Amino acid sequence: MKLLVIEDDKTTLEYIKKGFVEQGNVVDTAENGPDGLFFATSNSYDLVVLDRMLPKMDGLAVLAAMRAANINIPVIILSALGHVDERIKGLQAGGDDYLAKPFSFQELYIRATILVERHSASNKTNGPATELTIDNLVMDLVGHKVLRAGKELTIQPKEFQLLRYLLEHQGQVISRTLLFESVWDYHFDPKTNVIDVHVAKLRKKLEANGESQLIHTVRGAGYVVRTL
Amino acid sequence: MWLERFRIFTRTSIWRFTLIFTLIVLLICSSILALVYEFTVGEQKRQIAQQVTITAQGFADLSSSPNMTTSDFQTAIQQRVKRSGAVILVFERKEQNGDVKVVGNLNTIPKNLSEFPALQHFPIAVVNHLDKTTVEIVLGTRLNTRFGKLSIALFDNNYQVLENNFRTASIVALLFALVVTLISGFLLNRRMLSKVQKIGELTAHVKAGRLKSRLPISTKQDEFDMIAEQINQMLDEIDDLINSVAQVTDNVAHDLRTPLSRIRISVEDSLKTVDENSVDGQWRLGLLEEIDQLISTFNAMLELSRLEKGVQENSYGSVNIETLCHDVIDLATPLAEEKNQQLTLNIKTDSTQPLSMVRGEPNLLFRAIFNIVDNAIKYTQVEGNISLTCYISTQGAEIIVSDNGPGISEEYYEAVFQRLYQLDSSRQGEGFGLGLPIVKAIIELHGGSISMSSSNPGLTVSITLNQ
Repeated sequence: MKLLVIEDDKTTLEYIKKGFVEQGNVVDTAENGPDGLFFATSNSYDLVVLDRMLPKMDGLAVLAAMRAANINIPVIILSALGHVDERIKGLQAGGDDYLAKPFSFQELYIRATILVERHSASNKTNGPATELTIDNLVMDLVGHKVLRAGKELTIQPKEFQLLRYLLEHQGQVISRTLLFESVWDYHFDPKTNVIDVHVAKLRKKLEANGESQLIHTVRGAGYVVRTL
Repeated sequence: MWLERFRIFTRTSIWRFTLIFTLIVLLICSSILALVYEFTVGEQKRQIAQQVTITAQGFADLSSSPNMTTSDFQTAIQQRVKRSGAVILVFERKEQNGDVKVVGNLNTIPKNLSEFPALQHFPIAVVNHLDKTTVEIVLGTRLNTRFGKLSIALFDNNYQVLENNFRTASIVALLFALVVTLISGFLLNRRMLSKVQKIGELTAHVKAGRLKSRLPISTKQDEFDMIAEQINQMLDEIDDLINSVAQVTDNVAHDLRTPLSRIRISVEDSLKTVDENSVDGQWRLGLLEEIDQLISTFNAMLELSRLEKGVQENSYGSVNIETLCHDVIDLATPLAEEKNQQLTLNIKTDSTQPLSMVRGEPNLLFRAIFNIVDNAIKYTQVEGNISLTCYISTQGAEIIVSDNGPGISEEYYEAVFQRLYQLDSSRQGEGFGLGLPIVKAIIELHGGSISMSSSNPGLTVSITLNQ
């Protein structure tokens, strides 16, 4: 995919650029608001990573100008201001996601790919999936059933959502914060092992009767669903 | 209780001053009375004694005159008695035949009467004009002349009564002075004590963390107002200092975040060159986790300051408290299950049209309530009970988290809400004492209140949110 990163801190800019380039993406960069807006309006991108505080023109102003120019590509706002009000302001201004600094590149990358996927999916006409599968696990989204090796598992509503989110992003490392935000729809860092406990419970159910491990822990990053 | 109050009362310095002051007043009163006595009654008494002495000396001179005869001396006595009835004279003379002749206005000289110049008080019986016999006190002396014994005396009675009255009056005056000083001392003491107690209450408040408490200042501008003003100023300064310390910590946290981010980036970057499962890789991952912990602590400090500044954002909307409580329970249940604890939710409504909507920020409120429940789970023993009760009324909501764990001592109920306060040093590193202050700041930002009480045994945390 092709991205635009608007960020005034050179270290962070290089870090983001390097990360995306390593994953095989094309990255344009801008170090201030007006330049960023110029790039965004004159080229077509799949995603914009926008810093909240920029010289010459504030990040939110850039975003507002982009939306006014009918540029509806996903935008992730980065900010040192992690406060919930700031997040709301960012989302109200038309941002699609908000990430507080400092962040891990993993986190940014996952959020970016999810946003791009969602954006391109909404542009296509094929309906939503009714079934998700991995290995011998089948998730029936219509009947709200989970089958492992043909046997139905008793799964709580939140566990169902958790599994669904992980399966929808098979092979991607999902951070605890992202899981919490997506499944519980609250935005803050719970700072406890609560997500781990939920995942452990779900994992135990999936791996009952000696079935193979599907949810894997990635230390320092989060969880990933994959065979092996 | 009463005895204890009395003991406190009598230990005060004001009470000691009162006692000393009373003693001084009594001393001054007694000295004044003594002086007055000396110049009035004393003077009169001295004059009488002087008169007796002069009269006695006169007769002594008369008797020692060489050409004085017994009959002449006797005549002189009789004339003196006639001339002044107030002077009592008795002359006893032994006749040659052994009879005793008595001349004067008394029938005998009292036995053991002191000899001149010594004076002595003695009683005499007097028949007044109503034929009544009364006992009067006289001051007199005995003169041994060559003609016989002579007693000279003057009435001292009036002055004796005066002296008695004076004594009674003095005792009454002194008692009055004693009572008045003690009562005024008592009242003064009570006033002072109440003022001192106000200062004591204030220091207790400040100790409990209510740094905004101040002493009342009256318009009298007395010494207590001066002290109160100074204490208030001191507290203002302490408050300012604490705020500036908070500001400095904020700045430090803010400034440290950027280099920390760079360290984090470098460490994360370096992970790409090593196998994550190698010793080196594991070490780097551990480092990353430590950095993340550090960053999240700094973030919490900064966030707390923002919350404490308390600007209510217009981004707030309506929050359904009932749904919020269900969500908290949903999230926390596996944590309680891990410790075999019972986690229960009770929603109670006390009117037909309860108002489960509260104006606020759902993420913040969720976080606050979850934090309290999470703490209860963390500090309650295995197989304990934790309940989340939500009372919803038309006025707002009350959320009560109660557990049967070890609880905390009452004296820490306010202190645990203070920034960086750690109840138990062994819990260090686990949140750095920022959890409860953030909860409190969130609740106060929403115009609510939070308090702790004992659930015998255990801890009960009550949150009140108004519409």
